[in-house]
Amino acid sequence: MKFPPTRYLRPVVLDQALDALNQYKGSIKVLAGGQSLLPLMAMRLADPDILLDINDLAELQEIRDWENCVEIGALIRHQRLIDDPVIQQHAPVLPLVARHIGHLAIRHRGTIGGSLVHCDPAAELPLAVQALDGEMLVQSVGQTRILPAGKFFLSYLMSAVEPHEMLTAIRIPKLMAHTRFAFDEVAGRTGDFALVSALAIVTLDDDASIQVARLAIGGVSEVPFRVYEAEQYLTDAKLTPEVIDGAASIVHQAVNPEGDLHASANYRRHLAGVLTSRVLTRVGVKGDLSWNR
Amino acid sequence: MATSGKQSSQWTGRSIPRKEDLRLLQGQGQFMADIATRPGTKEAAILRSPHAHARILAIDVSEAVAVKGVVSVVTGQDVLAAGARPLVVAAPVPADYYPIAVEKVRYVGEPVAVVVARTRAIAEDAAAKIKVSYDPLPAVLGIEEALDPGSAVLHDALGHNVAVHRHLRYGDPDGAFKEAAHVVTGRYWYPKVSSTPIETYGVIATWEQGDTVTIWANFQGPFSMHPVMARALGIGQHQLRVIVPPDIGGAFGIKISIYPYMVLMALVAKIAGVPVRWLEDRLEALAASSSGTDRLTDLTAAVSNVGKVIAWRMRLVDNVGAYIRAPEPGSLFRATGNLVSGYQTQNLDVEAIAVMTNKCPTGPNRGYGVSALYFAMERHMDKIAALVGKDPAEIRRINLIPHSMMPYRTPSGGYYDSGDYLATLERALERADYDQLRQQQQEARRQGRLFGIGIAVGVDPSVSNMGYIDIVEPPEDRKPHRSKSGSGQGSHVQVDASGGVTITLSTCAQGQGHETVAAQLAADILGVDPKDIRVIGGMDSSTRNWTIATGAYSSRFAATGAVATFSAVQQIREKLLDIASHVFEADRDDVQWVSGRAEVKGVPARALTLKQLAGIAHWDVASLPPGMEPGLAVQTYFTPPTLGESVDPEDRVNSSGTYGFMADVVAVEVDSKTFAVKIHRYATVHDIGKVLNPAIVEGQIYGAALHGIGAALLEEMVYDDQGQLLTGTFMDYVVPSAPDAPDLIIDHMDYAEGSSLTTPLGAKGVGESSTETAPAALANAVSDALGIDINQLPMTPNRLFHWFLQRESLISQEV
Amino acid sequence: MEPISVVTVDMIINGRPQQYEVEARQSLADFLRDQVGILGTHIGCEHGVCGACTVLMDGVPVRSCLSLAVSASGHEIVTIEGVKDLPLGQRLQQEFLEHHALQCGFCTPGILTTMAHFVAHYPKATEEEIRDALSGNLCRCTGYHNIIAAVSAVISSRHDDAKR
Repeated sequence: MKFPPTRYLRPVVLDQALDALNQYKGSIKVLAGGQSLLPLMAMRLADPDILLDINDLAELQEIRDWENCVEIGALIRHQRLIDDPVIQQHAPVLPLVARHIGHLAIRHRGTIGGSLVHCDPAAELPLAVQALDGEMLVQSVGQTRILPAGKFFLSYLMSAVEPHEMLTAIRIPKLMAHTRFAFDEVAGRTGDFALVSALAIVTLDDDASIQVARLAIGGVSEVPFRVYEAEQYLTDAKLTPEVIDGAASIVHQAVNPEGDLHASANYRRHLAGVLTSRVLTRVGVKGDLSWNR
Repeated sequence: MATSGKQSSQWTGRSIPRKEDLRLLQGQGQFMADIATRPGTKEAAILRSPHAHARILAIDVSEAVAVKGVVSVVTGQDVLAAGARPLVVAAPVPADYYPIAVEKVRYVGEPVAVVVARTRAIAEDAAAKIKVSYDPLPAVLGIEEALDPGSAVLHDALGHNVAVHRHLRYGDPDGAFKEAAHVVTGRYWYPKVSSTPIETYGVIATWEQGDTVTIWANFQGPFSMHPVMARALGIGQHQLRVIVPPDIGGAFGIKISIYPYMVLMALVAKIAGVPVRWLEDRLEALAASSSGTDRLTDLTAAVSNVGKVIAWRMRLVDNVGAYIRAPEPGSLFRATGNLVSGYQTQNLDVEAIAVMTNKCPTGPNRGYGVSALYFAMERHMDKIAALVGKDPAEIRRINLIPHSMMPYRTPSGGYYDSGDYLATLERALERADYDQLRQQQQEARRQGRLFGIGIAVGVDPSVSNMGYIDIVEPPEDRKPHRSKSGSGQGSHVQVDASGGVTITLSTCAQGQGHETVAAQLAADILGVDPKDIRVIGGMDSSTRNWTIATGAYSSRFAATGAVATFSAVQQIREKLLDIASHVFEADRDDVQWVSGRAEVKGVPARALTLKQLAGIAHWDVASLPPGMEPGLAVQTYFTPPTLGESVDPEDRVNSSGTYGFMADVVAVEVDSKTFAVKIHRYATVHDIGKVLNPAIVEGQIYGAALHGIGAALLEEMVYDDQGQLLTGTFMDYVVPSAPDAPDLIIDHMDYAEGSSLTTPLGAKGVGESSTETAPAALANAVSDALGIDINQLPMTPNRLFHWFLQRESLISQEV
Repeated sequence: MEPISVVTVDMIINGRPQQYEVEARQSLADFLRDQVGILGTHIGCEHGVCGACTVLMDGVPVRSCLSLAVSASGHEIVTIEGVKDLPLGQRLQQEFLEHHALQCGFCTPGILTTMAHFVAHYPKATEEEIRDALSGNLCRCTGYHNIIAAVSAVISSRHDDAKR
């Protein structure tokens, strides 16, 4: 399982990287944490002529606290998402889900940009970004595109990033006040890709009825699945057991998963309902805002 | 673990820190990939079949040979041309097995060509450039499909896919079935699982003088494969030197089946004309190293009105994969002596069948042939209990062999020398707090929770009799003077001129702590600190004393290698005392060994230390008793005395040297929504005779149990209907990780000195132990929790969801 | 900037500055074993699941099979051979010895490097957190129990130290 022959570039500033992508597009692949790309290369399922190692790009390693959003450099590693105080304060959903990614060594190496571009529908960060309506900054020579999550995740293992482009940053809207959220997943083992995952983010009125609801399910479709129908159903409702059951039942109907070795379509569908009801129940109780204290 | 009680010996029986750990904790172990190769050694990569079953039409290696850095590309035809012969197997079937495909491929992952190059990476680059044209054939995968005469045939010369078919009868099963108050039937599927040692296979092969080959490999034995390899290479055994490194990164039976690769790399090195190293990668290991068989068991029990099983009728069908590879069909017969496990049944009717399919060939895997047997039997005991209205604990009490019947001869020839099975079960129930668990279950059920309790017991066979495999042929076909028996293991002890003690093992340990235990035993005999004893692990077939049974498999060290070492050190001490009595001109009986010295009884001042006596033995021949040889080295062999016979004409054989016993009690809670199984409590009690090192024994039980738990809940080699392996990565072949591993309540039955009749040290094997009972115990517990009859593993949440759903729909249909 | 297939790398390995020429495609694991010649880093799966090859890069655990040697240039690497020089390294090794936390020892280097980081950064870790931190290191021999006990012992001895 040795990597296939490749050539190597390690730019120190973003412009060099974008130039290289432009010059070698189609035969060059961005290497960030490498935790998805390198296993594929080891199995010779990926065979890039050139690896563009972006780990030295300081521009991609910043976390910026804007007025309405947090802008996270694409090279920010999962462990930093967990540990960073700005993210903990304004985008606490990310540390919550990031704790479920792989294992310690994977979290220390893997990056948010890498995970999003890899676009695995069972992965935690794409699910969170989908639920949070994050925006992706995608750059190429002389151009920046800003793509909302809905236009970024195209299909199974396929994002909207073109061969000459690079995802450079992710903007996550800050959570509104009185927002609660909860995440849960069922995986074969701790650290494995989830069979199904669910993330609920709910903003409440003063009278505890739901002002805004976001509900996303992972592992049940080609991209992380926003269940808008259930979100609508929840809006203006209160999180009573009946409402939660109703939402779970909508999710159960709405998802159309495929089966594989580890989970049949029916089991996945069942789990989508179960996890929906679990995350909504938890949100109804208090949510996971205090997870890290 | 606390060291228990006061021992008559200072070191044996204690949990001393292991000698091995000092190097392993510093990254200074010497595993296969760490062995220095001789200059000029090249690296091999293997091109493997993408088809489950296909005829090879042509192989074009021209592009691969042209890759810079490539030395040679070797195909099956090249290997044949170099004089390779098939690897022999006990089963008399025309299904030739070569270590590389010739004419046909029969499983995904089968070697098709070997590239030898400057680096492994270059060899892999070149392997990708080999063009093979295949004519795909229909694949046969399932056991029932393989039994169907209408299915495709893997080995044309055989004409069907049945490799072995034997019918064994003991006692009067037909009579018992006529008398039976109840007849209980069941069908059980045990999955194809592999213990997947974290270190993969590795081989280095180099030829000297054209006709002598040295092969380094992390081969665990048995060295009964040594003549098999020599024959396949067309050389004498004395021309084949096998060296095993001191450290092996786990084996669990899997590293027996490396031997075809040892032959292959020797052939490749011969053809390429260079020393060759091959380090298996994980994808190769999962697709094409080894696993246990998947087994279909049909079980029928004749049961008396009080719930006593008076006869078993068993149909065991093992799927040995694409080729029957020695020591298969051992899986079918390994448990011959303990087919009745710990139960009193005297009547047995066994139909034993091995089929070949387009899956990777199988071999020994922890719990060899026993885990699958006990999974079926112990599930069946619960069914019988339900039928006659008894508690699962009670049905076992009714059927277990009482202590008063020891030693006990099983109908199929097993000789159980000792053990208190009922007391072991009672201890396990007590340690698990069984009554409290049943109350807890009632409470949980009231709350709508799925809480279940499972019991499994089993006789744990260790130290396989080399002769058991003779049973593969019916008595009339067995050749006279060709029978096999025994299970010999050698050891060698030397004391140098300064009194330094070196023990040279030949046991190929893979983490069992042989060095530590050997040093403990020797330290007690010689009165020295184990730290001051050097123990050399690994194996070298040209320089060490060994037999064809040599190796570490079948949980055999405590009852063979340890005994051989013990006896060698005792002989050394005898010689030291002989020298002392001569020097002191004292009567031999008046000289004794005390605290590391020989002294004249009652005259402690007249003493010679180990160092002084060793000095005499080496430096001063004139001071030795007349006729005594100089030097201080002893070489011994040991085989358990009860393994002196092969299979008798009635197909009876004492297939194992020792038989321990264990009882596992487990409580689980199944998540009523996700169907994840959580182990709430797991108690396991063992009757294994004397414990030589409690920490090592506990470690073996922990590891063994987790292998059983893996098979019960997670692990299975899965193929699709085309024969493509779906579990070809460590992402998909799911083995337990730390969060899945339960804490165990482990206990041992006290050992009464001298109660074991089969091994001088009183220690029985424990290496496989709960691997054999955990799958059944968990299946019983989950069946109890869900109220369904589970007859298949692993019990993944996905499967439990579907099984539970079926049950619900059946219930609603009934309503 | 021209892409190259052989690269000069500079890194500090177990405290000593080292310079080598490596192929761009070479993994950090193969580099450490085949070029630097330190053999304690074990290769178990080469696709990032088993954890046997884990080393510390700039103090944090990484899979050396899922890192390129070239990417490690400019960084500091600690392998099992360097664990004894880490703050809690020897204590970990001692507890592993005393708790019989290894059998074949093949996975042990990756576990010790991972845990050397973990016990230093999570001094209050619970048993559940220890299990979670170990979830990326597969061991087929021990059943994990004694590994968890050894790591717990290091963590509780830190509490004892703090109380003193």
